[in-house]
Amino acid sequence: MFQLSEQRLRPQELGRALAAGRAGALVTFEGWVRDHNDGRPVEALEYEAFEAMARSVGEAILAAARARFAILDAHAAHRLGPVPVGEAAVWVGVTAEHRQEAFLAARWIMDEIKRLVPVWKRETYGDTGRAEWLHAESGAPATAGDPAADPRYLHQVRVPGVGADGQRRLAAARVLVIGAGGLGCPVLQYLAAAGVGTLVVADGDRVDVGNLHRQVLFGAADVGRNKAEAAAERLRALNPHIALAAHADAATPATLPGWLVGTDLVLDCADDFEVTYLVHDACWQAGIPLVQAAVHQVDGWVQVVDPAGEAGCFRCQWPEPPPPGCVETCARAGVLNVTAGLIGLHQATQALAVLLGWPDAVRDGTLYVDVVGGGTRRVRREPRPDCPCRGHVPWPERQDLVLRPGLTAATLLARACIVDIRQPEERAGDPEWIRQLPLVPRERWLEIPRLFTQRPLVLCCAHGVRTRACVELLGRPDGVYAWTGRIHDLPETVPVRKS
Amino acid sequence: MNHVTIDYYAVLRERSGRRRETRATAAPTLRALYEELRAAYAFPLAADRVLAAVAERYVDMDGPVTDGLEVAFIPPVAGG
Repeated sequence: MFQLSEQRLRPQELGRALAAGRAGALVTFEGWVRDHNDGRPVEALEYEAFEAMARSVGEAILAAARARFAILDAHAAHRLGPVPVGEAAVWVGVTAEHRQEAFLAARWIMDEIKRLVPVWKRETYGDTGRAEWLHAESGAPATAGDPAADPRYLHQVRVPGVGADGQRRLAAARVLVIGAGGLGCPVLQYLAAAGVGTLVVADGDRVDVGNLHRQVLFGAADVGRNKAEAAAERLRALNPHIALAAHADAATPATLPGWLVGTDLVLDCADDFEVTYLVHDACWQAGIPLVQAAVHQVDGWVQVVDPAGEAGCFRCQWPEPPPPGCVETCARAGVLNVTAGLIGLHQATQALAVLLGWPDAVRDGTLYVDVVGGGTRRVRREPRPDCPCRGHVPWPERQDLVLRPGLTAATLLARACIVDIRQPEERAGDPEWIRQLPLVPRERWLEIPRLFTQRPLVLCCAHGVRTRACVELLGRPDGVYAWTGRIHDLPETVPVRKS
Repeated sequence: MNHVTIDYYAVLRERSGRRRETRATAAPTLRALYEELRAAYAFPLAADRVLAAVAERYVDMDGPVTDGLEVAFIPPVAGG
């Protein structure tokens, strides 16, 4: 059960609710309000949540934990309203037959609560007396201890260009893999083993006996299981020190935007042009680098599409998908298992190169591989002048909009109506250009669609947490977008709003 | 007649039954060369659905065919 409480959390009572004769372990975690943040003294703290969504997200996290870990039960509670220094703001409790799973699940639940539950906090600082809203997300990597010191990665850390910093970069990365098939299996296996901190795998298909020759994460016993879930289970066994999440769904315009939030890199391991174009367009608009690959019998190719680069997008090469029936998928055309394996490893290599910031990643070309002859051909890519992506402006950092297909972020913001959805007191000290934006405090959020008829409409707040909750509250209306970065980062990216 | 060397990928390699070949052609442009090959091997894709690469760059299908040219024809590939 996930509770939101304005009363003091009582760990003993909360723990008792988990009691079960079979449990051999109870692991609990308490997050306390401390008297400082970023070196500043904190006098008081107040939590606020978008309650309906917080409850449903919290329950979903607990249900996912019960499905993912060998645990008996899991509960969590979060305080709302003012919380004095020294009291618990959040509590997580997990029972299991064995302690190992209980520790893992408790940590995972806490990380997911911080990452996903729409709760934000206001700290009153002792040095200025001012109150500021902060988002509750920590962004802390899910790996235990310092990954650079983990003996598991010893031989990798020694490679020039990786090192301790590189290993920490991998540990801090969140990577989304679309498709756990012939490409996805080697990609996932190697990225998990390399210590990519958070791996998210999405696939709506079930393991078929005809997949087993090339989809090497699966065994005969997995036939009939969802591929994402079976892959995540296998990967958890391969590397228990990383966080894994499985989406048992195909990438669609409905599912994909949510998966992209907070993602550093996407790998398209799908077997389908429709998905490839969907994933590409969404990543391009969101400014997320994408590693693409495809295989056919004994041929394959791989490339990095980098929205911050200068080589253009996938549509510069291939403006539209080919007519249906002209190009067959692996299932119909056939594929040698080593083709998928080799190209998958090229794809994983590119992913590591992008995450580690190596300059020789295939960002400006396409690598074609003749699997049997061993030949490769690296063809240089250039932007196509009449491609719609030409209006794209490279962003200084990863762009932070929850977007839907059909618009680039730059074009969107350039002509969007931008609305500040913070509370009036949060504007104290803001630059003039922010104070000129229309302001709609939370008690009036429901009026936003009526107050602002112009589309696109982009909602902004202090850290981009409330905007997502607000868009959900409004029922995700067409043309209304959540800016998931800081409102103060807008001038970097919306020059028209600077004056 | 120009003598050209052609690399085939994916479904084009499958249909032509070869990775690479050298042939004599009177086709003036890459597009005409591709159409000639398409007729010979029953390629499933029209010329505007494939890419041509020369000297490791994608090139315009309306570019000229010259003697000694080495060109790769690359179809879209989706498999994963």
